Amino acid sequence: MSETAVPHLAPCLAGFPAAVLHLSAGGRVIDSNGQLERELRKAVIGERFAEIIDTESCGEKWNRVLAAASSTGAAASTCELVLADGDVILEPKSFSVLWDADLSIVWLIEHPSDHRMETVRQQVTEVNSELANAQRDLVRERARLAQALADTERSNRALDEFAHAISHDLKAPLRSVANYARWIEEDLGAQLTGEPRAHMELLRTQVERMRAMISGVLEYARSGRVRLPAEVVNTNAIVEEVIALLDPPESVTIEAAPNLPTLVAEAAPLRQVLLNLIGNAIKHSQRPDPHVWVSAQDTGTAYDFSVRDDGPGIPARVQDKIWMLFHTLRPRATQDGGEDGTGVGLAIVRQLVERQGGKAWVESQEGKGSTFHFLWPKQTGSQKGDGAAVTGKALDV
Amino acid sequence: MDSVTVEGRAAAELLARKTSLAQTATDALYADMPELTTRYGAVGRERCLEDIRYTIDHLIPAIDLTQPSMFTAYVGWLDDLLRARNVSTREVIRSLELIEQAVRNELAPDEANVVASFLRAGLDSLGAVRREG
Amino acid sequence: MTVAAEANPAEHYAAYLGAIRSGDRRRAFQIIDEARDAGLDLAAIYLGVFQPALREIGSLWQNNELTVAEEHLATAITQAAMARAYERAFTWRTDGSRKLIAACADVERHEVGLRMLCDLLDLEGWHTTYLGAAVPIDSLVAMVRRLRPDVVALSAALSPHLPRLRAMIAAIRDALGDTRPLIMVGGRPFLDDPSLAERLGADLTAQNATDAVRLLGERVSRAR
Repeated sequence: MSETAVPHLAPCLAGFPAAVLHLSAGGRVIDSNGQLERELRKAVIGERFAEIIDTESCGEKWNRVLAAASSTGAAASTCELVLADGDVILEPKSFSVLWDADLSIVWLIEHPSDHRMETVRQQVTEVNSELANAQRDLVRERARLAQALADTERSNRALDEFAHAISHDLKAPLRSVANYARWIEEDLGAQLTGEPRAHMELLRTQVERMRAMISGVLEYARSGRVRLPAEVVNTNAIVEEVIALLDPPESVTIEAAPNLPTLVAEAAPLRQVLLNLIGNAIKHSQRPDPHVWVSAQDTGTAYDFSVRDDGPGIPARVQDKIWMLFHTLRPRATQDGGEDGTGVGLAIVRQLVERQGGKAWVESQEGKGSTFHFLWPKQTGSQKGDGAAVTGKALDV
Repeated sequence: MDSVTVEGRAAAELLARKTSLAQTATDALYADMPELTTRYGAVGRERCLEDIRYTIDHLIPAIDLTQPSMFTAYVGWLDDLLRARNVSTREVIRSLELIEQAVRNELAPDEANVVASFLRAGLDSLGAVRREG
Repeated sequence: MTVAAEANPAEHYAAYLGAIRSGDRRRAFQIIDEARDAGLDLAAIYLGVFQPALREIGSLWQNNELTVAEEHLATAITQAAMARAYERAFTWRTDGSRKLIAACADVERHEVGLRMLCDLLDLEGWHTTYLGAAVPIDSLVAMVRRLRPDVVALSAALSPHLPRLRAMIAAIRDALGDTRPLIMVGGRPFLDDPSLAERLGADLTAQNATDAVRLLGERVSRAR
């Protein structure tokens, strides 16, 4: 292609504050945006570029760069050249050298002048330094969190062990108290009447209640500790098991939606949660013919299970408190056995669900029944087991 | 800077008059070596002014702390840097001499003597380099 | 801080220098990862690889064998590589009682040496705050008042920054009197003449970052 066929540099480049040139494959200047002329105070079009530079200091380098540009095709490189007009030598300029194979020309584009580069460089240095600080803060914070997590786990474990030990140790003397009470009753026989007899009965009930609470603490402590491998679980089958375990009287109706999910989960805690919620619904019904409904919805990332009853409902002011250990709405209603009223069941539900990364809550109005919800997250391949693992990736620049 | 000692006063004076001293020295250098104009042009002259200011920047703490080695280390570094960029040691030497001249014209004699002794230390260190080269 | 007997920073240094000379960030990171795998600890990598590599880059620039852009790229890669190495080496130590504030007397340049000191002290359980360059002296004093560090570390890369460094020291001494922190200084001028530190009003100086860590460990007690 002849040199005259090369398109002229766009007029907008005339205002560009650095030199832009077209060179022929032979190294002759065929077009310029005028910047170089301004500095050299002479025309450059038609000149050989090698004669514009100071050959003594950079002639060889220029030949090398030009040869490399045209022989390697589209390669672009940067070259610092000392320009000269006869004996006058300008400061070195940095150029990008680009070979345009289609037009058989070389583009020479001067880099912006040093002082502007210097400003940019200073800003980059500032930003870099800020980045380095932020990165180190991040590393420290992450390490601190990992430490805090380990501390929490350690103290949780200690608390569990403490609860376990305490409840074991309390059980023995309690058994003695129960025995002494029974012996006193036996020894006194018919002599025990009136108020003392009523007090003895209260003593027995309270001992029984305390025994149930201690068992509850044990159960609560245990429920948080054990992690089991996940398996494929059919929730309908689990609800069947739970009903069999509860063995409710004929008057109770439990309706499970037919399409409860089949999911990958730890079966034992899921069974325990359903057992506690369904059991509670029956226990606190206060109706001759309690009705309980079990259903579930897929939220995408989790299953939202609900256990609804037609019981008395829970006043709004205590809806938060029922989840606390040993909180129960009917502390003295223990006529139907010591199993209820310990206030452990819901605490265990919440603990089990939260260990799975889910949550549990209640929607209820007095006189209109209650619906207990719990969100059970789906397990993904990478996120089995501990959800709180701290992971980190290096920042890349 | 300690205004009691002559070194302290000399350093303070250098700092206060840095711009005019550098300009005087640059003008003198170009008058002395006219080939610089043709060789480096107007841009080269600006660079030269910057370099001389930078040299005075390094001269000030050396005098202030009475530490000639601080200045000779700088002069050696500057000479290496400039020689790698086709500026001869001769030009560096001449610029130090002309800084001395400018200082003698502008500063009190006792202060100028102190500055000159530091410049001399720099020149001596370059002399050694020149003999080796 | 000890270097495993078989781990030799020299070979990693040569490979690393080659990588940053050619601006090859990924290769540079890889070499540092390999150095860690070979048993070099953070101090050995900082002082045996990064520091000599940056010095060599500086002298290559001085000799006109590298452009300014290439020099800056090599420095930027090294800053990133330092952050990476730091991240991999960092473990949380509960001893956060010893505090240090670091600042450069320079107006525009950030001191890699000072950053190295902060990083190595972090690993020893110190709490460090790196303020970098161009910190106004008033702000520095205010920060020292507020954080009450055990040590203020100041650096000057070049002798023209020494007057500013001296002004920083004087301001801290004036503002805090007897309750002032220990003042440590570092940088090229102090390598050439360690006695400068005392003349500028500082308490101590060190030849390199590990030396500084050791000195500060001796001077500043854990329990306060």
